[in-house]
Amino acid sequence: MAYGCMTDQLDTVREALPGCSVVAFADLSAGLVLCVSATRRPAQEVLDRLCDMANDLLNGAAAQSAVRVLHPGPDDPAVAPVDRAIAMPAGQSYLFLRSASDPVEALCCIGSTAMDLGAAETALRQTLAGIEAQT
Amino acid sequence: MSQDRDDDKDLHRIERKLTRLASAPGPIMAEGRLVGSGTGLLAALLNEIDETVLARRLGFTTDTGLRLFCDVYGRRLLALRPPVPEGVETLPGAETLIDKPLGALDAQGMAQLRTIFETVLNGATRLFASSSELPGGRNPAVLGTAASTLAAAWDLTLDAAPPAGPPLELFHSAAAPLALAWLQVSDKTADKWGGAQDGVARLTRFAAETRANLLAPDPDPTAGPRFTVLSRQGDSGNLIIAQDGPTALVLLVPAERLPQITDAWRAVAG
Repeated sequence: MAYGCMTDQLDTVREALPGCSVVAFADLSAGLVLCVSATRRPAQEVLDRLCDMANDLLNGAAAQSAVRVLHPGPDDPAVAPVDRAIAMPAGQSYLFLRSASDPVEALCCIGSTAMDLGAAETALRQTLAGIEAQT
Repeated sequence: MSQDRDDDKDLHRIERKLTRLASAPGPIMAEGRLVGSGTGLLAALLNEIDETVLARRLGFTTDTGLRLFCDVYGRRLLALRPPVPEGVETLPGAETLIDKPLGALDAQGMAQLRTIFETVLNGATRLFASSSELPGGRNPAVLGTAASTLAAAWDLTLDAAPPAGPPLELFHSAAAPLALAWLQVSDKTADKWGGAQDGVARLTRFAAETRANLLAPDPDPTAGPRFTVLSRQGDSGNLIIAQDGPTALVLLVPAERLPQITDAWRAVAG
């Protein structure tokens, strides 16, 4: 999929979400943001940190332990991993959604505390599904 | 001279109001808005009356489950309305104070009123308030007693009402009743828990596995309280970790209650 086309999709969803400032598509295994839409282009360090956050929240030790809380029962390697994470440090909201078709890819979103997280998740999942369908 | 004192009082009240408006409001839950925690609930109750200018019926609810209704107008207590908690109606003076329009209370009336309030607040650590229209509107003939007069008679300083509490404590108050299970970890030791036993067991295991160093990925490690949600699409629950310094609260929350939980966090932590 051409990144230019993906940028349009990210722009569309970001502009549709009040309070949203950044939407990025990341490859978690490489630790790289592949495509980003932002009200103002973030510094590379910000994107690197965003990718680190996504990796830690979706793949870190806490996420692995979380699966056993969310899915009680015998440990089963086939159990689906955490695929959504929300972090809310002071004044900001972060939303991370793992791709269903390729678990090393994720959409990352930064918004203000005014951003509607439910609406953001719905819109971002649709965008993610669109990206998945094209790749 | 008296005019100067009145001006000073008004200025002081406005400053206090602005300070409160600038701070995060207490979290809102089923019982109402959290207006006070810890000690000083009586002052918190009077503060609510003192900040009510329009004709309203205030419902005060304690975390011990008791409820008291007060008709209020112009920062004055106009009446106590039934139903009152069991035993309150037999307190001295209750027959003249409950469900009766109140005038300017004398010293005995104020002492009896204080006993009623303290009976309701006894053993409580949190006070919630809700507000509704005054049924039938205000009766202009009812004078009531000013909250500031009651505070002076009871040797309470309205300004000294304790803050509603630290963010994690406030969040705990609002979120725990919405959770399937919750566990508080302080200095890496689980010290409080509640909810379904199975859920508590799972959260205890989670806390042990993560050693309560729950989530490092914060954009700024020096930042204040942190809030994280981990979940999977299709699951009925969310795992929530709220942290402030060495204390963490982990909760298992039904999916449909996540918006209330995130709103509660935003209310206390911004």
